[in-house]
Amino acid sequence: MSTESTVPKRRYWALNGEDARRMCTAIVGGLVLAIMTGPEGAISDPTYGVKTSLLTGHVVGYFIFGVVLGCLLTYRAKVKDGTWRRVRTARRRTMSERVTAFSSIWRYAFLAVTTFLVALISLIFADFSGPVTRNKMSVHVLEHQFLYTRTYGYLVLAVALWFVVVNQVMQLSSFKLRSLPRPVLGLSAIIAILLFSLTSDPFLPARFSWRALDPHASNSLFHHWTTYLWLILGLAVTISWLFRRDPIDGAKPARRSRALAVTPEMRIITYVAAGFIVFEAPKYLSLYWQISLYQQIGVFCLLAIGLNIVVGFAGLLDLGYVAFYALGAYVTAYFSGALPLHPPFQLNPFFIIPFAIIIAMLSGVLLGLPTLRLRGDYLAIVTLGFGEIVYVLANDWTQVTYGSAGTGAITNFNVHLLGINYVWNPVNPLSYYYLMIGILIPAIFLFDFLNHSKVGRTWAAIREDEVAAQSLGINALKYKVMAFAMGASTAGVAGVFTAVKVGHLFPNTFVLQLSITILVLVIFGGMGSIVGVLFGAIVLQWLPSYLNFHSYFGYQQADLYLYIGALLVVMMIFRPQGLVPSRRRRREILDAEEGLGSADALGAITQEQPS
Amino acid sequence: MDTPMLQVEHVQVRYGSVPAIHDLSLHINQGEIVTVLGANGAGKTTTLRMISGLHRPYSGRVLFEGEEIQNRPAHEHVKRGLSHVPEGRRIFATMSVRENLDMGAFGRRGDLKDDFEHVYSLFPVLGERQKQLGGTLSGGEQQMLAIGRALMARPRLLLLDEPSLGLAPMIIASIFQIIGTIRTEGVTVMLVEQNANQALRIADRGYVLENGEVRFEDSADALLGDDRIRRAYLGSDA
Amino acid sequence: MFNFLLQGIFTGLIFSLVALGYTLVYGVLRLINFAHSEVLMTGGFAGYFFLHYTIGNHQVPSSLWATIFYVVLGVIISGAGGTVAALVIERFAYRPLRRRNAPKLAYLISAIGASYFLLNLFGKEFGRYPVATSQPFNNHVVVTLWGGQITMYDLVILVATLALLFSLDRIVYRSKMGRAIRAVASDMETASLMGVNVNRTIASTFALGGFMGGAAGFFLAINQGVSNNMGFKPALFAFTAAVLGGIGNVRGAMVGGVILGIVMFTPIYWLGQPWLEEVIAFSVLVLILLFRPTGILGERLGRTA
Repeated sequence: MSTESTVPKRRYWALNGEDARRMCTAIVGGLVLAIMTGPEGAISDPTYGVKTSLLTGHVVGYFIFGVVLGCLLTYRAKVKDGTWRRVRTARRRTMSERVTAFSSIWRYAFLAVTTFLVALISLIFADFSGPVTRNKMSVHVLEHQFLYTRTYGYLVLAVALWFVVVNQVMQLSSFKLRSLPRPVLGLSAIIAILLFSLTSDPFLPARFSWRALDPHASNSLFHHWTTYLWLILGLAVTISWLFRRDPIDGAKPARRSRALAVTPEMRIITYVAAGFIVFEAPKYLSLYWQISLYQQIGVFCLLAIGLNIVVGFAGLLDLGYVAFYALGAYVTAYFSGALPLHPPFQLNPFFIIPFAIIIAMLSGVLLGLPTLRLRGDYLAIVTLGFGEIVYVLANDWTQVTYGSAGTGAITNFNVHLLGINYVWNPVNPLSYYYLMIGILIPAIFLFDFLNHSKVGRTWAAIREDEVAAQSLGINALKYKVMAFAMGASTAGVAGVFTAVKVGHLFPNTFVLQLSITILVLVIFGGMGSIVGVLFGAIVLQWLPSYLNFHSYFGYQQADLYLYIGALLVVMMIFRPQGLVPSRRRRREILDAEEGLGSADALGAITQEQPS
Repeated sequence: MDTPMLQVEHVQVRYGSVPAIHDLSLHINQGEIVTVLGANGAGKTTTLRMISGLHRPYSGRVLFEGEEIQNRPAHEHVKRGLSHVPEGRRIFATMSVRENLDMGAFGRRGDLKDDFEHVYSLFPVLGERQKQLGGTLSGGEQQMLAIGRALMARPRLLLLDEPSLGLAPMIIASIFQIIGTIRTEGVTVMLVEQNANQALRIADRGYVLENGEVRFEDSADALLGDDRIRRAYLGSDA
Repeated sequence: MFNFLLQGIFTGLIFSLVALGYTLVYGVLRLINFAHSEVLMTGGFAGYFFLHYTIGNHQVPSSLWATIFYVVLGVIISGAGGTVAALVIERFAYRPLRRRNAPKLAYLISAIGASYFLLNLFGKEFGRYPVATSQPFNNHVVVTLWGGQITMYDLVILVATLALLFSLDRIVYRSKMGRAIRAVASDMETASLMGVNVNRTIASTFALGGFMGGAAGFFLAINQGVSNNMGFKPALFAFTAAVLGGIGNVRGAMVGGVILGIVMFTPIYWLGQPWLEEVIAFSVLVLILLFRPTGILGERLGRTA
């Protein structure tokens, strides 16, 4: 009966429509990127922006990027669904084995070609990330890039990479390099990375100077975040490599885990390094970065871990999160006597914090109770409306808020207790920074504790299957409102911190865009994972501050939200769990995609069957 | 012999990483009534959903009249002549009976007058209730509407998922009778049933599924006579 | 006072058009299409360019036939713009997620992302400040009723919106496409078993809503000019209107828009603060959710009410 043998086995070499679609998407994506980074247009000449982006050299790099991305995606998909599994032989030959199989002339030819390619790629990268934005492909611009030390930095990096490759190749061939002891290699890696960070920093003058290594010099390397970024990256790579466990001979791990195996030594080193960076490094940063560290990164870390409770832990969507932030800020203004309405008593900002918490929490409960009884997605639109209302009130209700003119002066944090008299001076951002750390770290531990407590498990249960959770006697509404109110109160605290630091409040600080930005911070890092959210907040808040100076990749400050919007869509399509996801959340999203449970508290999207 | 009308070859279906059907092969010949029996969770409904394209198999092939269809979307199957009456009827509750039938002929062009008359002659109740909303019909009427709706597409193969579910014995009997009539009109039927006894009486052949695999395969009479089957699926006193 | 009432009715009609987009998509996918405001904006820009390149700085056409010509063509072009925007949103922000059966939160977030992307892309390409649109007709007062003035603009809105609403109603409840939409709204799987191409039907739902939204954008563009964030507030109001009428219910959205318009604008006569409109609309939204979450006419679109 079986007819299987009569049907010929199909070869799956051919690329199908799906692959064509993927390729087109990637290329179109590249072109969209080109338009996104291209020049601004104006309504009087509506095609200017797109035309200039697509008809000048500007587009070429992004086109190549699209093609490369398409190839990579195709390869990944093909290998993943098993279509190309047959292509692999039983034992895969590594690149170096293949090269050593060449005869010596070919080997040198191979080296020459790779050298050339490596140099070319690093040049292209240096060029496209370089400061001159238009007409990247013109030779003139390329020459221009050589005025910057960073171009040499990329060349150094490329050569180092190339060296590793060559070393690998040579080790297998006759003229083997003696392998150096690990500590020496590690140390040289650190030095190489430092050198790279030195040369890659665009703040530095075109010519390299040793003075950059002096922390007190005016143009010190240590005044810039990039240095720390590269250091962290370098340390992470080096440490993980130094403490790498040698695989037992012949025994292959069943599945290679992508995550680093965390050894106790590594954990200690990580904590020490993190502590050092958090407490020590800011002292050496330039004033600009110190302000950013507080205003852009610290405050937003607090906001992000607060929103994470709502979005990540409880699985709800809050689009008016900034409203609570604004509430906190305006409460501070009120108790500082900076509003037309005078308070019964003025308060030290430290004592305003509990008021801000209570008021934000109350408004969260008031807003959440009626809305959360219904479908969860109504919450999104109601909070959107609430955010808009708070903004309108702040902007137009001049009798209460002074409107768009901004509030009066808000008192600074100060301590007058037991003979200690200290006033936080707005000119010294570091004092605020340490205060922020003082509230951020307890908040992180508190929320982490909550997530692992009964409350956190309840949230997870509601996220995964609300009906089942309710059938176990869980009052889902209570826990959802609780999450919502806790998120709100965190934003309230952040509001106090902002108000005190900036001194005068303006309504246009609290626009909807900010809510979306915070949402992106949470999503990017990985909703539900505190580490992920902090990662997202730091990276995504740092990057715009950094790019404000130089239009790397054609970045323009006005386009920030363009990128943010694109990032949201792309994240949702390709990596909804975020870059550093929590294990449970990731599992949930994958399960939900297979039709098991849900990953949010918004109700099922699949249709209920009519009975 | 001719190629069978429907052929399922070594199919595995998974929900997430959990396989619901392990390695299923079956076939249905032109003009047959084939019934698929099995306990709850044996994979009967999943099999039908997989055949009609609602759920893609993880591996294996489904051939309808010699053509591979396992990766085609569900709505194309209807045009090929494969109709599926889903479990639980799934009537469009806010559409009238007539609109529901109209939906059944969605993929077709041309005059539907004959088809309406044909369905109304099979199920006179539906003719009386043309204007009534689907959601207000009784369970038996809904089942008739579901079958009628599927017939509107003029299928060559009809997949029926538990047509007797939750119906009174009298109505079940009339529905099984109509299934017989449909077959005489040249429609091949694949019938998934809990009500094994009655299903085997009208079927030509039967498959018994257990844990996502075919456990027994035989002619309906032989299965009716098989002791093991009687004990497991028909109830000992059947 | 009557003036405010009239303003409410005519603005409400525009809300109805926009609310249809929300309600159609909600009916089919059970999702709030957060990117709908950008559909409105795209329609507005399409209308702007149409009027700019036909009328430009020339004299405002005064004859009735010219008015009809410009309005009809403008509505069609803006509607087409809205349709394209809605289809793009569906294709890139919704379909890839549907393919993967993503959780609902993911849809909301990607829709927000798409909305932000389009908003800022238009801002980047066409400038971020409002620009006045060339007028396709002379906006004179046609009739005065009890102290309320009905202008040409109001009249155009009334006629065009009613025509659009009527034809949409016919499409949804009488045509084959409408039947497919209602079938998908009521039960996606069974609809596909009937031979309905679910993806195409969802796309056509977006397209229909997009056309209505784009047309609304045209009227807004004539009245207030175009800017990249012109869609945000009307869309928020329109969502309120959709909930008010019963989200997922096409006729409810039409009624809800007008009622919301009246409720929003009439009190301004006594309160005198135009910015209170938003506060009122929002309060209406919260109150409905508190007391009658299924809206005035109930939720349905092929789904049991």
